[in-house]
Amino acid sequence: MGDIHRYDVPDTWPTWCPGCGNFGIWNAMKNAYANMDLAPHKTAIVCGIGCSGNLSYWINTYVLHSLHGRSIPVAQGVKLANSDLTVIVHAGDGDTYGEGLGHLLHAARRNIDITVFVHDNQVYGLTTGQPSPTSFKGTKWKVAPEGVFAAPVPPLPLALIAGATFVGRGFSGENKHLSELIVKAIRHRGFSLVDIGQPCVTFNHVNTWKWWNDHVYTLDETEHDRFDYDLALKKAQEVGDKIPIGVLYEVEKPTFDDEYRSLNAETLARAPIEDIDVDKLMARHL
Amino acid sequence: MSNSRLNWKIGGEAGYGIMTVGEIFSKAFIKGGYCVVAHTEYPSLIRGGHNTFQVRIDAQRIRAPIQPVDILVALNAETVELDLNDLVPGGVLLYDAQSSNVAPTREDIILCEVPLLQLVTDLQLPKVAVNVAAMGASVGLIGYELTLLNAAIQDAFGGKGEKIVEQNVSAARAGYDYVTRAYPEPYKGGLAPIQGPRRMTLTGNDAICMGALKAGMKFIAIYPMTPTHTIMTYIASHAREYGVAMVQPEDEIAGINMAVGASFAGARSMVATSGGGFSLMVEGLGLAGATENPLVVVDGQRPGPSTGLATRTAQGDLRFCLHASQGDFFRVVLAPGDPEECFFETFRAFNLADALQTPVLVLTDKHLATTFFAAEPFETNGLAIDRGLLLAEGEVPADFKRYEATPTGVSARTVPGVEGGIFNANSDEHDERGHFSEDAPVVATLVDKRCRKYFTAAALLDGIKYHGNVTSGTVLVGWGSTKGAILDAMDFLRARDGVELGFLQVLFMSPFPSQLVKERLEGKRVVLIENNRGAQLGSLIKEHAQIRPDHTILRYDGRAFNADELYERIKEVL
Ligand SMILES: Cc1ncc(C[n+]2csc(CCOP(=O)(O)OP(=O)(O)O)c2C)c(N)n1
Ligand code: SF4
Ligand SMILES: [Mg+2]
Repeated sequence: MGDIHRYDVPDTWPTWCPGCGNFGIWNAMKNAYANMDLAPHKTAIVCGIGCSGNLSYWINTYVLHSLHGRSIPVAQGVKLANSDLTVIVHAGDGDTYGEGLGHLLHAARRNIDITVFVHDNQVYGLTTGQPSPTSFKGTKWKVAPEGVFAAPVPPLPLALIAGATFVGRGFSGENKHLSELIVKAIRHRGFSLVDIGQPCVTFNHVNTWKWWNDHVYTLDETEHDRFDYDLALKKAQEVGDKIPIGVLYEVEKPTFDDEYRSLNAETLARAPIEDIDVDKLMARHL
Repeated sequence: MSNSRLNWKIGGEAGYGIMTVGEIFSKAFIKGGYCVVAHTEYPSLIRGGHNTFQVRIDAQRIRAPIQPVDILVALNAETVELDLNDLVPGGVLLYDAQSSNVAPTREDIILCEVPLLQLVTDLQLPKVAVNVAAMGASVGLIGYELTLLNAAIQDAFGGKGEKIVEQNVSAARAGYDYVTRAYPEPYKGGLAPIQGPRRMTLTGNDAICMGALKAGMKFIAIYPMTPTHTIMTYIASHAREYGVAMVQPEDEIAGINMAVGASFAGARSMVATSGGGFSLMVEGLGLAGATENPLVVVDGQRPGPSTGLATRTAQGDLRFCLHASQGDFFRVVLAPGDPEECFFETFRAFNLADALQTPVLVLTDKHLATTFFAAEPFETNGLAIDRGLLLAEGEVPADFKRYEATPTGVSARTVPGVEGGIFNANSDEHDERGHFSEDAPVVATLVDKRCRKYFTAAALLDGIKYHGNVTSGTVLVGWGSTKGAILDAMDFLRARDGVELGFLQVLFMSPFPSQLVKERLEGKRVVLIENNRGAQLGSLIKEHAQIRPDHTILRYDGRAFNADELYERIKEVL
């Protein structure tokens, strides 16, 4: 077990609202990193834009605080350029399931070895409380006084169908469990999505701490066979009275970055580029 | 045609291989010592529609198409209808009466009937082979060397196996034999191979790819869009050889954001697209600007907002490229005018992107990107890689500030994996360490830092090229792909009218070479030439050099200037 304070940015403290679920995620991730003894300089975290993405200010690794909805493409570029890095995304539900939903599905089908953690507070936090793609149908908001008309996006089933090779759900309030889940997701080689229940105490008055505590239950590893795709798809759709947390699905498959790596023996970011010969190309045009 | 030049045009419907003809026919003459410009016009259709390739061949240096055609090869009736008026009096219409069954309406031309379809059917070849038979027939008609055409066929089809090569060679031979028997006298004395420099046959896109590979581009994301889609083909076929990752992303938004990520991780990265795709990339461009990540962006322009004319040409994106993205940051914008510049300026674009840690935009257009030109092999000795202030392991100072507000605006950079170099590449306004900051003086300091790169870049670059007569009272001004037509029109003026003009080519639009432009244009009669409606370079010259053009020659119908047409239009204003 490494030192968890290695991952703190000195002289800073998160500006999340007191009681925000992001604190739990932040602690769990640092614990997970310390557990894995992750080298900060060999880790690249790409964040989206939201309260969730602001985490970029308070984690001491290489970070790219990107655009709303675009952290998954950025992370894929990082991974392809240097597959020796551990590449991790932290983004919001608006980020990942709204603005950037297409990117999520395409990254899943590529099975590129990055790990995506979605801080799913079922609300747009940073823009002060609009419904998000995972807000429940019928919930009322300032900007949806008649209630949300559309059904929520089902991220985990979508990711499974698209080809994600690791799918899990965590809850900010189950901190030790979350920390272990984070370790498993990062260790998994291939595309991993972990949706994390994250109460927003300021703007989401539906999915509160109490609501979450009343609904989540931990998947029993002896009962749930995480290698069974059909079972995983069924569990992924269990978001009613009971919401399972844990590893829903896991499978080993060749990754997108491995395919590229087999093409290019060198790590792209480190390949020497002095004196590249293009005379042979020119000869083909003569 | 005299016996040192020929303007040859072939037309037919899409799906019958007109596209491959242009390169093969060009190469047959470039191998024979000639200079060639071969451009294609086609609608945005896969089957049907009117496709043409026009190949201008000359013993002298030429750089642009001209309109009057010496030999028109019609593979269908539509070509006869649409292109017959391009033929010069005394020119040849080479056609197959069976497939182009129309009565040509002109009496001042020579009809050369060749049963192309019958010839290839007799050889049991598919119908598409008529275009190769037509090339053979054309070579026969002018008494040129069939072996040179065969060599070009070998180059084009060699990768598909000997059988395909033999079939095409036999189709060419059949056309050649038929014509030399039926019309034994070479047309107007014929065209023979000459002693000329060894030249490559290549498009602007080919040259961009070579420049990028030479520069060590390691990551490229391209979502297909005319006219940069052939960059994708080129890089794909050399990706393994050069160790490049080429990704076809789900959209251009993903493409540019992937490229920013790859660049952040240390790989030289590029995206290529056209205006529509670039529109989608704009927020990602700003991300590269804000986080000071090197990036090369190629915009192959085509006409119109929205879908426009997908397969035609224009120079309408200049202002857009200069200003795309909200907020203040510096980007380099440059526009090569021929294949040499496509190669050398793309190479330089990667060095500038690294040296200035900001996006570099390379503007081409359909005309430059897809026309085949003749170019002598590029001299690559002396091309040195400059990665700028990129710190390697062990070079990171103890108190590393990634965004230190240096006098040049450029600060030392690390990439993930380098110990001691951790920072936040932050799209929020930030302080010198990358930490989020809304502190007013900090914000202003860092905005100034980014924008100071303008002056750093300006000190590195000339930004213009001046061609022709330095004492001319009249100076032509242009940018990008019009360079070829302008230089050729100047040759016509010199040869036919004894007039020697000057031409100011603006190569860099950002940083704008204000002083040099002013020096060259002050007190001159300025004739501005652009392939757009808004005279966008003209407006930049007014803004930066306070000079108004005296005359403006614009074309914005989706077609490039022909050199002869431009010659006439320049004469009108002289
Ligand atoms: C292109 C773009 N559109 C809109 C915004 C404004 N915006 C900032 S954060 C946000 C929503 C954040 O919601 P979510 O992703 O769920 O993150 P949270 O704040 O809830 O953690 C929006 C719409 C933006 N930054 N960029
Ligand atoms: S608004 Fe909600 S999500 Fe954002 S910091 Fe406050 S509690 Fe957390
Ligand atoms: Mg949210």
